[in-house]
Amino acid sequence: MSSLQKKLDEGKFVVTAEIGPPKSAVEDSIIEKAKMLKEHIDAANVTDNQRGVVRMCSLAGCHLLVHSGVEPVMQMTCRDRNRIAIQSDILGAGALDIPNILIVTGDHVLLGDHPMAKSVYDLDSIQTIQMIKLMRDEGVDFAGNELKSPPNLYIGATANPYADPYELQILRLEKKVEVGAQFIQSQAVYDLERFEQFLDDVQYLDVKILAGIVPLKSDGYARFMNKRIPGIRIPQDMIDRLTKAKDKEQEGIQMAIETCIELKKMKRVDGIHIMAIFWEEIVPEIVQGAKLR
Amino acid sequence: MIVTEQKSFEEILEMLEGYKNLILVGCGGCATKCLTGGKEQIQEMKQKLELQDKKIIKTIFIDDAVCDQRFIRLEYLENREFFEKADVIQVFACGVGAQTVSDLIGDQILVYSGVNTRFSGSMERMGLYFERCSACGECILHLTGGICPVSRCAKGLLNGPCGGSKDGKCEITNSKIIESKGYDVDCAWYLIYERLKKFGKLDNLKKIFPAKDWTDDQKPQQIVRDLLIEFIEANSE
Repeated sequence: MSSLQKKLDEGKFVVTAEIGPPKSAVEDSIIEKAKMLKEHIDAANVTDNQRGVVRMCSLAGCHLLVHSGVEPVMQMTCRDRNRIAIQSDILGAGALDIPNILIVTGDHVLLGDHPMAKSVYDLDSIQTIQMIKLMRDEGVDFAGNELKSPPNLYIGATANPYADPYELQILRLEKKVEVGAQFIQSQAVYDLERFEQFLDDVQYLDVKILAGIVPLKSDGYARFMNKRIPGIRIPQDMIDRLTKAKDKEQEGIQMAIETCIELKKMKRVDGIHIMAIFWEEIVPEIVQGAKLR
Repeated sequence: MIVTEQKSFEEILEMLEGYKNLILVGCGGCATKCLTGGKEQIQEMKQKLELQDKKIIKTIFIDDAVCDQRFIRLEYLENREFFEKADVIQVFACGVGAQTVSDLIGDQILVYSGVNTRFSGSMERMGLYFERCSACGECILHLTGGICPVSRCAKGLLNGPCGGSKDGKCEITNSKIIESKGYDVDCAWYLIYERLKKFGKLDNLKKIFPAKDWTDDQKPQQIVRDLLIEFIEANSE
């Protein structure tokens, strides 16, 4: 049973964080990160070969989190698996007591470290959510065959208020909720005004919204993100602020804290999702600094 | 059309190593429009190969298209003596063309391709080609403003766009690979959105496009038309 779902349904403000699994067959870094974050978060996402860079699988990472006492959110992309493989992993997740899943389209292989790979995208994220809901609620697989014990998963999706065309992003979120998404973890929020507009525009949707935070390490990092990371839009004034700062990392953390404080004030925000990309050690500082819990 | 690129001359020489007597086949269809297997390219290839001490015992140019086996069969019947002397038939047509030749006489003579087949695309002008169709077997162009998301969205999404679309461009535009090629990639869903908006048909996007049925895309496919069956039956009676 998902305690993330329970807390959100009870109206509690939640904090989730992203844990990037290692490019390694040894599990120690995940367990270490779990220990570090355990007291500060409600659940942790394990990414699925994010940006198309090969890493330990999300399923194994989530299993390690369960054993470390951190509730996992298993991220799954549509990029590398067809519907047979996805369903098989979902049954595996159920068997390993992984209670939450987040479905993402998946960054294109051309942006990763295996641009020569064949991408799959048999299903898109909306169709995948549709399939998982069918498995969970109807107890059948996508072809209609009965499942002996269906998986019980709290289903999440992403939303990007900064991608184009904006109207279609809203429509997509509407579709995601319609097919079964129960919570949203948004793309990194920097421009608060556009995010607030977005919240207004999706007010009618019955879905929990966790606002995404990606702390910035430096102005160079921010420029890199703007250029190379899909869906990221960092305003110039934030980059300038980092340029001027003496201690850029500290400034980045401070900016993340300020954004969190503003987000927490917004009525429609049900929680914060911190994606400190391979910089997870700063999550406690942000959570405490913004008094998120 | 099926868009092709000629293999490098070095690669062609490498595959022909040890073989002297060649037949070159050119195609008046797509390969002519792609400047990979037209009359001029075949003539040029003949000269280059002769300079490398190869013997071109015949060049065959199919004005129509090599992929229609009836033409190549006719050539074979009329020029059997050349075919019997050849070590390799080097085909400058798409992979379909090369295999049409191979299906006919590949068990007697080696059939090689001199091109790489890239995609089904359109030609805006000589030298400028765009991928446009993935031959998925389930066309939805009437719903998407005449713009195919299966072949023009980098991820083939049916309920697009993904979160990587920015200022009307696909996220792969920002990859080093596309950057090095020197062009931008439009977000197909951005184009679809703009087109449908123009025609007041944005409602098309409200429905959820169901998961694609790939049953009719499982390789290798074949189609037998009823009219052929009827024809064969009528003539056998």
